[in-house]
Amino acid sequence: MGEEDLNGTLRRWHVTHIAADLETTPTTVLVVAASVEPKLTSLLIRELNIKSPLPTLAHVKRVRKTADEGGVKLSIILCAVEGDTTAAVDGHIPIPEHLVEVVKNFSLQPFVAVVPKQAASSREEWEAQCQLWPTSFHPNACTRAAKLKLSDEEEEVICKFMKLAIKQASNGAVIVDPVLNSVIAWGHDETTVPNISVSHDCHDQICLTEDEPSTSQCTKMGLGECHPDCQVNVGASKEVSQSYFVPTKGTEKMPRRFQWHPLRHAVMVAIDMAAERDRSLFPSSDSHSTAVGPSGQQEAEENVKSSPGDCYEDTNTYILGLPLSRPYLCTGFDIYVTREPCAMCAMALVHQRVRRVIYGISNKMVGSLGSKYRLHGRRSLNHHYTVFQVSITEDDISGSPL
Amino acid sequence: MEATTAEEEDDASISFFMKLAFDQAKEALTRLEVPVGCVIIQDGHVIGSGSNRTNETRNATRHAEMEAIDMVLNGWHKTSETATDPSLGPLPTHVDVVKRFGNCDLFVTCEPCIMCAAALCLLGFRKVYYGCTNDRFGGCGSVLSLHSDGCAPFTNGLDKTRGFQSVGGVMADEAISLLRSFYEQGNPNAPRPHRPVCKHHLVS
Ligand SMILES: [Zn+2]
Ligand SMILES: [Zn+2]
Repeated sequence: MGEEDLNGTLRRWHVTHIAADLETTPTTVLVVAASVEPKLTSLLIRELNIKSPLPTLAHVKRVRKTADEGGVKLSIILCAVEGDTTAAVDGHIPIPEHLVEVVKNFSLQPFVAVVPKQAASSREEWEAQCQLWPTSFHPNACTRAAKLKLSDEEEEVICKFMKLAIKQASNGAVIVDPVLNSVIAWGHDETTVPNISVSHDCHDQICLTEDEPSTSQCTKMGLGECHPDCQVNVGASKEVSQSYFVPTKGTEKMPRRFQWHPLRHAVMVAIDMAAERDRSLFPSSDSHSTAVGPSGQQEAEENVKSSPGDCYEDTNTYILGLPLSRPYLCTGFDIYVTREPCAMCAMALVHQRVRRVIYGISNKMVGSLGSKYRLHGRRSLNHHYTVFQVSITEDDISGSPL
Repeated sequence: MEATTAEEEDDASISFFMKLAFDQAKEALTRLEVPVGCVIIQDGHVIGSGSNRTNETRNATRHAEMEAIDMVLNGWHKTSETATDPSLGPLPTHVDVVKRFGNCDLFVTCEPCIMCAAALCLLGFRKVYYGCTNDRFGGCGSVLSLHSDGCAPFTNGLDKTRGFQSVGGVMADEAISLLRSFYEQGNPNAPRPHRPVCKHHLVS
């Protein structure tokens, strides 16, 4: 893939949303609601829309109107019941801290209500839903089983990052921070015996010519000559150049003796690098004696790592002029991988809390995000990412370096 | 859980190895990691052991099984590096590795998650003994059944899908109380705000 291809007419792949469910099974979730004086309703709605948006319940109407003796009674949803719902069922109303004041100011009497978890996929289902709580119904709306639509711009960004994954290897992956719009970790399949993985040491990375952070920043990262954050910025710049990248030779604790490893699938390699970046950028409080705030200090004395929250305020790490906050694992990051992840990799991405998984070629045999399994639709999991597929072909990846 | 067949299991050796896995798990607890521990056995010998290191490494894939597997692989690598006996040959190949794991059993205090169960398939383990079930992530029957479905590798030459024999419920109560003791003291590395501790969060 040449410069021409990146800068000139970008071949346009299609991006398809891989729904979490094949079909919707009606399920419900608990919310905290309260009756509200009609004249206070609009004020309260405004307040709640700011303090307690309900992104996962967009299909549920915030206010329910019921006929009451003496007039109309209005109930309003305050928030969803998070986490453990057994307490809520037992009559304990879990009011999150940020709503305590609202409840007090409006003299609300919260109760627990049941609402449909997903938008109705049929009129019949919608009518049943409204018995519980009013919902909106759009015959063509998105549900867990329906397709998410992306804008042209979003699709273009996805295609560009997929190109970078292909540039890694025919079996490659890149992890992207969508806020910085840059690649923060990458990897390629290392399950095969050495001879080819040697070329890993000298394979090209795309690097921004401008806005490169100082070399000291890169050295501090311990991630070779090229800082991953200056590696690419596809949204902003058209100017890309090649630079040389020397990867680290494993971490101090776990020297990687193998040049190949039977479990080093591209995804696992990229996750490992993201974790390594995290450790280098945000050393834990016990390895750095810098002040970590009252609670952190106390914890440090007990030889306990400070929680991510403590690190946020105390790190002075800047990338491209933006203060960088310590990620909790890969929360908020996207991973682009040329082939559909297997069960090991798909579950690893659940553990590492990525936001979206965008893969290329399906793997009918072992693919776990649509082919053999649909892991992201498993409700028992504690984290769910959104999955997209880019319509790349074997031809597209045959030219990659590895 | 699969019923044991013809040859009666040696109960004493099963609980012996599982106790070693528990020692690993308790060690993780002192490091404020989710207390899950594991040992890998070949010909009656412990050739690998490990426990959770997800907090320390900030890599949520560093489960006990992964740690123990890496210990075994490093050991094999080292032996072949320093081998004076030419019959030991060069570095093990992928096929060699799968062949060797085919003679290995793994003992882990909690049902392997989907990721680890898939990894154990990829490596071709013979048999896996675990303590308590893992209702949210379990890959040996709780959520998925990778031990029977298998997980074919991308690289071919290691023909097709293979699973492993899975035996659950070995010292399950001890495993549960160990996990509970961890969650009662609170996970210092959980993201804020802390969610209320509940039974279903027992396993990570
Ligand atoms: Zn994989
Ligand atoms: Zn696991």
